[in-house]
Amino acid sequence: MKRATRLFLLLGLACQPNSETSSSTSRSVLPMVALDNSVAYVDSSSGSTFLLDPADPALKPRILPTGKSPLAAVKRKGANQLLVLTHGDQGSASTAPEPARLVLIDPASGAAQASYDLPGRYDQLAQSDDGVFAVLTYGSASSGASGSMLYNPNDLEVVRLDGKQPPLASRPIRSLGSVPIGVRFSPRTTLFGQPRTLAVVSAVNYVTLLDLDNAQHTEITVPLVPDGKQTVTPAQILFDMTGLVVYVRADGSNDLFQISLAQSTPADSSSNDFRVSLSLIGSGSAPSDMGMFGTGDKMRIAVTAPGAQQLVILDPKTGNATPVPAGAQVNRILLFQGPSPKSSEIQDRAMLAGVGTGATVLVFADLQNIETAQGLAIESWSLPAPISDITPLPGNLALLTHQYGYGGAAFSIVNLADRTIEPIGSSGALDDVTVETAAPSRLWGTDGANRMEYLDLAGNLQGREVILDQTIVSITPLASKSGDGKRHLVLEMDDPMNVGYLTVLDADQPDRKGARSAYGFLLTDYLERGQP
Amino acid sequence: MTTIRHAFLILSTAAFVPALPAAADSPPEPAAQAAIPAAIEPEPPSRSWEPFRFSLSAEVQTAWMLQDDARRLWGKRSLAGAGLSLAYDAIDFGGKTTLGLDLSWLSTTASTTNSLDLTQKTSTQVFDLGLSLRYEVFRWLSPYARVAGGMGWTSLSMGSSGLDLHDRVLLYQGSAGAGLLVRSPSVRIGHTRRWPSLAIVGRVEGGYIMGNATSFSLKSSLNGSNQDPIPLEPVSVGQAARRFPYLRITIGVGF
Repeated sequence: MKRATRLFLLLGLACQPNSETSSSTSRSVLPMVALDNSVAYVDSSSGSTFLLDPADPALKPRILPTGKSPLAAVKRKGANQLLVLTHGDQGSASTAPEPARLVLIDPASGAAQASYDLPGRYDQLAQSDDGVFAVLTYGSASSGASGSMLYNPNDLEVVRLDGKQPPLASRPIRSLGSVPIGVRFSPRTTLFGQPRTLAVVSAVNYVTLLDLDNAQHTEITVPLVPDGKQTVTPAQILFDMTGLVVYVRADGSNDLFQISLAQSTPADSSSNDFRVSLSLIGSGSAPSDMGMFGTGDKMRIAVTAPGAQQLVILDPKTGNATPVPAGAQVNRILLFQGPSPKSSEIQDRAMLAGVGTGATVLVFADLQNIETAQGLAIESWSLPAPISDITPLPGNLALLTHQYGYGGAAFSIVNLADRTIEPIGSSGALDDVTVETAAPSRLWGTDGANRMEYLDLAGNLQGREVILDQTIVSITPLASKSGDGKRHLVLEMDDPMNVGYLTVLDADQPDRKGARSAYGFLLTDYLERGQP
Repeated sequence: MTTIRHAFLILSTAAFVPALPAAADSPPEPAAQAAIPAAIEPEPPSRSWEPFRFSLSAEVQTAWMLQDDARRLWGKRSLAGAGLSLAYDAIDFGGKTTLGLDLSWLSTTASTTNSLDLTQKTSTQVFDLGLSLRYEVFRWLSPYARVAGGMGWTSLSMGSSGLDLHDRVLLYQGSAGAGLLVRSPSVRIGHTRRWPSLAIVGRVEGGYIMGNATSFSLKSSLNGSNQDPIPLEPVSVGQAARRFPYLRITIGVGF
């Protein structure tokens, strides 16, 4: 009996599962990306992209390899494509390194349309509004950003996504002691006889201009604070491509920076065919927002100066500043063209508001002759509650999101032409509010549990609800119809295990009866996939 | 391998060494026979090498997963299973060759945290019917060859309780192997022939199993309590091959 016990003990030891089977990897999934008519998830651990078509009856995703350690996934602007930036793998003594990559995935073909091996392990991705250019930068000067012990945080990569050659241009930009904190792109326009897109790379105390169509040309660095005694951080950039001017508003400065472009003869093949000059326009105290209106000689810049409760109108040609009392602490400006209750003439007008200031006043300004009319061009309207956000909507409408806790309205719909304010009540705090700005404009929200509420912002503002089975985390209406002829609404549901949990509804006729869910779709083909 | 050899040494040298003075076919002493009254059945010998027809054994089985998909399901190198088997010597060809039948049940469970950081539990229940041909080299040692076929089911669950996804699929398989049977002398546990003789029987068998690939479509009971739940589409996690070498060790009693 004792021998038998020993025998089974030995057999038991022989049959112990290998310890390697219990090894595990920490797992992360990048936030869902909404494409035109499908959604994409990128699993950082396995380096796989899951493309899910809501029209698929089985809701089975297609899985594409995207490279090791994806860092960011975004929709390519102007195209129904996915851009995935990967960190790659630095390798080890036993494994080969894998370069960082920018992968362009087309859901229609279900394959990677292009993959660009990058010379650096960038972690920030910015793209032009037309989706032709992407600029990759490092997010910080710490080595953790790149994973490299030594690297130049002012190195950046310009990627052409339209297929034209060369697709990549890697270059360091001149540093005046700082690193890039953001990239803005000009609208694509013909500049000095050539279609171009300019990029303005922001850094503390300076900006850098890049001609993306001639990425081999030397960059132009524009110091904003020549004496270095002041610290200014670029916060907003406007492009006047007709007047060949770039305007920079910076936190820490009372002036607007006007960067004018003028044609020049390039000295060599690496020089630009234009030069820049910097001038400053005084704009009152601490400008918080700005917008351009008018054309030609009548082009003006409207700037909000909340400290002085003013709207300041700047004439960039002369540098004249005309302060107009706003009567309230306004810090946001929403320009629009339309009639007013007093005039049916379509003119440049503005709505001004104090976002986050606690102000309960909305200010309208008729901008056409405001420099002479002054206070006569200003009208104030009271609001039911302070504002926390403004969302422009089509049809000269704006949605005001009110700060919670003041009772009454949660939102207000402002008709900019009529200057009417329609409050939208709510019985409680809404979680994850989604505003669909394209027609049909809808407001979607959840109650933090399994109830979804929505209303047509251009309709009768009557809310409707759909009750689902689990807690809703996010609501994403897709822009285009899928293969089944329906435009879908994709709801991310509470998913503690991170295995993928979506519910799909008809976005135009949301109804529980037509809802379908997919739970665990990130496990699809798990047994047959390669090891992460 | 070291462990297996060790186990075999224990089986062959410690438990089943033929060191018995008395043999089953030894004639009884005439004097003693005369002394026993006719009405009293003679006491059979306490130990013998008489063949047994049945054996009931406990078994353990380990296997080596060769395909990546199977490794993801059952582990990289081996899985441990335990079960019972009942063997019957159906035909004695005279002399030393025997054809046997056996029925076995094997239960296997593998629990791990998989590469998705999810708790994964795989369990398999298989019922096999086997046919073996055995040749007695020594009274205590018989090599044999065995083929078997059977069916059962495999269940897979991923994730923590309440949120888990699970599925159960039918499987069928066939196997071919060879091994060694070792036995002890039979010991009669009573004083009359009505009591059976029992022997300790052990088998060590290696071979190869081929079965249908198991394809799982995981389902969840997330909305199980709802009267009219929103349909949840099942998730196909793919299929895993069932082709692997195995080592099977049994120990039991023959009677």
